[in-house]
Amino acid sequence: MVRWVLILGLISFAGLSIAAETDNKSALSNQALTSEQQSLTAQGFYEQMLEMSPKAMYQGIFSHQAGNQVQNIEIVHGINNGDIWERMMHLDGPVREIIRRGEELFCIHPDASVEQLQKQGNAPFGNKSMGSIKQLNLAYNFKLLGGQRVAGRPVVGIQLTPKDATRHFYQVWLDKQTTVPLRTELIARNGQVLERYLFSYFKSDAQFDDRLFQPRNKGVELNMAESTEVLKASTADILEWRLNWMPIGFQDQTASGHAPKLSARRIYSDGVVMFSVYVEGVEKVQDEGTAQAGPTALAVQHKQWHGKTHRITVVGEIPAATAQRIAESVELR
Amino acid sequence: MGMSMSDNKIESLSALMDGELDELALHRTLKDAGDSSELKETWSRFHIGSDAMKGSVSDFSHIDISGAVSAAIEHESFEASSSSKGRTWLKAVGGLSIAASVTFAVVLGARFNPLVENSMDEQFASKTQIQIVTPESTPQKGPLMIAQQGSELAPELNEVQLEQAQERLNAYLKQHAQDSALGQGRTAMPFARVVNFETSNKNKGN
Repeated sequence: MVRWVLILGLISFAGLSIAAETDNKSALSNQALTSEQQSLTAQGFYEQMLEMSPKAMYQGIFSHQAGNQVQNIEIVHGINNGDIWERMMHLDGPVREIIRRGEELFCIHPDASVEQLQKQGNAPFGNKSMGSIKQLNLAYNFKLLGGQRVAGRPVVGIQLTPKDATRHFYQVWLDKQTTVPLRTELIARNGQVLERYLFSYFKSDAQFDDRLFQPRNKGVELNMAESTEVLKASTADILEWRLNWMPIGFQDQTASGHAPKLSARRIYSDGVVMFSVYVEGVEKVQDEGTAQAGPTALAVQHKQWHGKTHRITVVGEIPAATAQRIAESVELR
Repeated sequence: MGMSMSDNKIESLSALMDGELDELALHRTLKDAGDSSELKETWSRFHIGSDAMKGSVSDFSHIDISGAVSAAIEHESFEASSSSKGRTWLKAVGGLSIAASVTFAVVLGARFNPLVENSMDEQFASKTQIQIVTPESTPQKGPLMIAQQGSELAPELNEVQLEQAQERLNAYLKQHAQDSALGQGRTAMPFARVVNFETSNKNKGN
């Protein structure tokens, strides 16, 4: 008995090593190994970015381009006691600021009023690790785009090529020193750039400086904030629903404890982009269809359940046809 | 061969490829490229060439920019001729005083074609006639982007209803941008997608 196992083991081992050898030879004779290596290198860089860039300390100015709209935004990013702190200020048009303190997010409006968008402990998603290489590999192939220069700094480019037609292309150029993405692009399959973030100025900071993160709007206190909740659905309005279809690689980002089955809104991510699904009871059908705002597509659908009309809205950085199909797949029960 | 194509245009193409062109120039170049198959070829060649220099051939090499080109040209003629089916509807939208920030119109009664798994590619290929209209791009007003799918429009919504729809969709956009910004845990940069957020909650009181 024991002998049999041993022999079988040896045979299969031999078989494997032969296969490996021939694989290697054929790989060396053509470009397969090179592209494989390139893909692995790209994945390595990307993994470094996921790990290191949130912890980096930097300030800079980037432009955000969506559709034909371009705006310049100043950003300061740092880590304070393990929490991400950020301050962003729109440099064009009225002064608007976004202040982030860990899980808290504040908007300062041009009239200097403060709005708290996300409250501590109220985040609809947990600290699930998002965008791991394993998850990304489900939906994307990695490609190395090589070295370039952005904001005067050497960067390395990576392309995430979608494996199916349900999502867009994604390209990112990482700062070689800090791994912070200095240029990212979301590109439709027809080659149209849907969205681009591009740093024109970037400076790495050695240490955290509290003063950099204070609102530039004079006299603004963050504790003056009034909080807003977009969806005002009561529990009576919410029913159980599920998606019967979504593109491969997307995962529910909703934190446990947030009643995911009965939630009026859920958010899904494939590691690169996200889409949200909103389900609400409504009086009547008002409008239906799809719309596009920069990189973000919206699809509105209605479904009947127990004589009541429910509106399904899908919002995400995915093709409109994908959003539509997701909305159609919602099953109420 | 090079006689019919100015070095200028080639340069523009090269810049376009690197994302270096400003919007106007981009528009012009795209239009030129649409008119000239020679330019189109050069684009492809450039594209492959530059990627090859970087050590890899990108998947975009097979993408024909004529899709983008025709979209850009459609966009132009759309504005110029304004004889499109959606005109009255667009006019209504344009005439609205839009308080909310990222504003766009809902497509009314658009046909929902069932998407079949294996015909996804075709579906996407044939659905590229999305018309994007930006009447004015001052940062104060934000982009007015209208995606129109299919040609049949349902009975029109009145202005109040349209405004309500826009407001609602803006709220969703904002919520999504916020969730995306915090959800990916790295940076709040995706919040830049919400161009203006100053008035959306205040107007509800009026």
